[in-house]
Amino acid sequence: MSRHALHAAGWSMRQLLTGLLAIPLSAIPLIGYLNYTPEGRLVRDKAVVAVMPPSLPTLSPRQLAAAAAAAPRYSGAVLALAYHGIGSADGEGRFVISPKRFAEHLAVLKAAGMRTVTASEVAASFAGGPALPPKAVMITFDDGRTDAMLYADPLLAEAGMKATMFVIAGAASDHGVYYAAWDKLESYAKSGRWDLEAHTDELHRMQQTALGPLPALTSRAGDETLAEYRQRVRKDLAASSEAIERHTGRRPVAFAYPFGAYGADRSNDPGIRQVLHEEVQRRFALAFHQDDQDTIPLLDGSGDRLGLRRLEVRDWSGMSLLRRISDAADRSRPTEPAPTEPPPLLTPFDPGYTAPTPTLPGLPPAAPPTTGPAEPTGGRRPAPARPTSPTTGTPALGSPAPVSTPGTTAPGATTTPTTGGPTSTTSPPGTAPTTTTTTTAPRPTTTTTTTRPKPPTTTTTTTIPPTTTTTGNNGCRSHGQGGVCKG
Amino acid sequence: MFKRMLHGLLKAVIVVYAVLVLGFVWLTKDLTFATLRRDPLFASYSIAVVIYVLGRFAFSLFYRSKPDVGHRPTVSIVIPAFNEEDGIIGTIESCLAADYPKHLVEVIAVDDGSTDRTWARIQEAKARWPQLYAITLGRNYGKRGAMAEGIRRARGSILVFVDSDSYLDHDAVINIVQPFADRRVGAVVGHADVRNSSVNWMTKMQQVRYYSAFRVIKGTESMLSGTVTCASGCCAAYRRSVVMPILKEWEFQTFLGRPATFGDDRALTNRILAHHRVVYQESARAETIAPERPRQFFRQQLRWKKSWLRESMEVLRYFWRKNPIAAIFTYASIAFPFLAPWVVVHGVLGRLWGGSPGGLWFYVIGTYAMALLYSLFYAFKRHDGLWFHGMTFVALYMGVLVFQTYWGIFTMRDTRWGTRASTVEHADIDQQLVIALPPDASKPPLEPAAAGRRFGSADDYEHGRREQAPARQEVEQ
Repeated sequence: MSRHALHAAGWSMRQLLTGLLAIPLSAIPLIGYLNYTPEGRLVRDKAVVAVMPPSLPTLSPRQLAAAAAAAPRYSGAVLALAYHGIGSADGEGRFVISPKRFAEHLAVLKAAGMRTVTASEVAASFAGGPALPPKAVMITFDDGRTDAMLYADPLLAEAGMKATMFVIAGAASDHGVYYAAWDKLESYAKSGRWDLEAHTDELHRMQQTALGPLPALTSRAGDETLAEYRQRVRKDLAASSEAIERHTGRRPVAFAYPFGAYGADRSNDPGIRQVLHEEVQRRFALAFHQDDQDTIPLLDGSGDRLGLRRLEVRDWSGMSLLRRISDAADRSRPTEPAPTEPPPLLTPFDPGYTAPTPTLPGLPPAAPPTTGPAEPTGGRRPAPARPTSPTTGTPALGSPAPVSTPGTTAPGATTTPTTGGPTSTTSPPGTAPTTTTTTTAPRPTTTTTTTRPKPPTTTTTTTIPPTTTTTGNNGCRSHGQGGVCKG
Repeated sequence: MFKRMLHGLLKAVIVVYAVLVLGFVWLTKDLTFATLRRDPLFASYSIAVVIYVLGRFAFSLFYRSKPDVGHRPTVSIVIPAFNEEDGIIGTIESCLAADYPKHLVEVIAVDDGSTDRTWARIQEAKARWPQLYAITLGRNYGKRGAMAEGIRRARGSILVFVDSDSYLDHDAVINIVQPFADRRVGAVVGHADVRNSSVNWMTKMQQVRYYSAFRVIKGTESMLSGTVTCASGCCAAYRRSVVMPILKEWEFQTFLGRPATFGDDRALTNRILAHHRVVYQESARAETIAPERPRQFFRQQLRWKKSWLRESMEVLRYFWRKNPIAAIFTYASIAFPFLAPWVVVHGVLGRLWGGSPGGLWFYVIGTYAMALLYSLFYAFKRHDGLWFHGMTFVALYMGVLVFQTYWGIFTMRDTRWGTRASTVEHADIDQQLVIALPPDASKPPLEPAAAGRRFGSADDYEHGRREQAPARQEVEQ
């Protein structure tokens, strides 16, 4: 360091301090990357998990007692919980909860004696297989996000629990980082903790339509005919199912609708719901969405198994989650009037099929009783207003029987055959963003269905008690194939 | 004591920080590999650059200068000068004052037909120090002509070239000749610092850049069987016996039918490297003047780029025969500047036109991390508070200088110096015009200054007075 001696004149404490001070400043871009970009966050999360693996919190005796006391009591049914991401919540709002929160949920569920089951176990049980354990919950994740598995897996392992992951097959093949790639998914599946199920191949996205962006799975693209739509969906579901089978050796039995959209709303063709239902039925035994968060029931295999509802878990405390499960159990307790009607016969696929099928008897089958004053446990989207058909008039609300629309109307007409029971909503094709508010006398329920031209399509549903639930596509993140979103 | 503790603390902090940055780079490898199939060019470029940069680092950490083994060959120090009236005396003085047995060293100052008072200043120096060999060519032949004339008149077995805007440390000559004890070594390059590094952000940035270009890049090349590709003109030494056979070829080098005016240092190194070793000697230190204004800086960079392009074509031909690791590094270093502009454009356009928004951020942060590591290396070695300017250089490089590769190709035939007024055509030195004042043996050699002093006081170089700061040595492409 003789050079330093030579530099003595220029050397000063100030220079030394400048150099020292520049160190933290120079870290700002790195810290910014790690905290404010999705990829960076993932890098950070990996480091965090590697250095400090997440673990379940130790509950105090009081908390344990409280959990045990608040535990619901039911058997032969299951409550489905829907999670999306686990990590930091920046920018993704309610779709992401912290690992700490998830750990708390698991700890409380465990303390309450809840047992986790996977979608395939539920499907087997519904099909007459082994009965579900008492107090069964189904932990599901959508999308196959890397962060969710990164944090959830060690926690599930510690809790001795299992989860179901609805994988977007296309995203897993995309070699991105936000969605776990197949090799990772395979190793998770091998652990026995994860049941991989389908969440489309590449239709987990929004597409432009005359009505604005709509989920690709529940809308016709451009001048696509319904038959072409059916082909597209069939191909996609096949691809997703086959990809999972190829990678795990197990054929998926369950499906989760992207964005929770199954054709009842956020669609541009009333026929889609029917077609989609048929196509899903070809491959899957169970299908899930997230409508009507306030009235999520236990699932016992009755009703439409392709319209099962999951409780979207948010940043709730463990006890709060437990109470919601208990509430669901209470709602379902008065031996739910099981569907009186047999499951509907679905029209077999007809390649020449183009026009909306004239009224199918209740699809989804008369399933959970219709929302009405007498039956607050109703499972369907509560009484969205349906455009009044000039020929049929408004069907009597509250009528338990599915409405039959006499005659067929040409596609595109305002009148649409009801495909979803008396309370389904379908925006008639061509109708620009509609806001319909219907207040029906006999029912104290006011429902406002708003279809906006842009995502997130928000359906605001007001039911008794007047809590506002928002379903639909939020926190949409663009990825790869142009906008893959949570849901 | 307190200061020493502070220095120790600073070093410890830097090491920890560098390890964290490396950890960050390690963690991002998954991202990179995930991108590999989606975006092969981008991902493989990232991987290659990271391996390249970290590889250079890994080698350079083990670099050590050759110690003084008592090797004392005869030395001729050649100083070519063109319009350097401000700095020439300081440069001459620093050379004369070098710690070296006086009977073994001669200093030759060659005025390349300057239009200012350079020759007068050299004569002044000659009057003060009769042992100086002063030459003026009488007209302008270009830097190579001046150097060649000096070489032809030199009697030392080792030729040390010092640019007229460079200043040797007192022990630079002793240190630079040590590697010549190894007979395979044909040339040695010393370490250059930026003399005017405190002037503004441009010179600060260049100081950090020079450091990594010398210590990391040349250091690595030197360790890999002596394969330094450019012995920068600011302070370089050659074995006369290997220069003489190629002198004419080098002096009258043409490229695309035009005289190759710049990149004399890289051209000479290149010709010697084909058959000999070229090593870097960190302990042989010089200071040089770096451009202070963006315009000069970019011109200088463009000149270096052009000479780099020209010489790289030669390098491609023979380098595979050299040390294999050095060959990989060198071929990679030739490929990267060609790929980099596309990668930058790809990253930015990918961001603008759909694509994965992560791509650009990933690219930016990756570049930043590499820049940070380079800068931290400087911070570890030098505690002058300039280290973070290294990142400015990388930003400038990625933003502007990468595109010079192609700009250099398009303007290849423009061989104007950029900072020099004249363009010189090849011509043999007309001895009729030359005035040569050989060392005066009758007068005893005069000790110019005490050893250990820093030569060339601040007055030698007055900022703003000169229109052009040539600084024409090459540091790195």
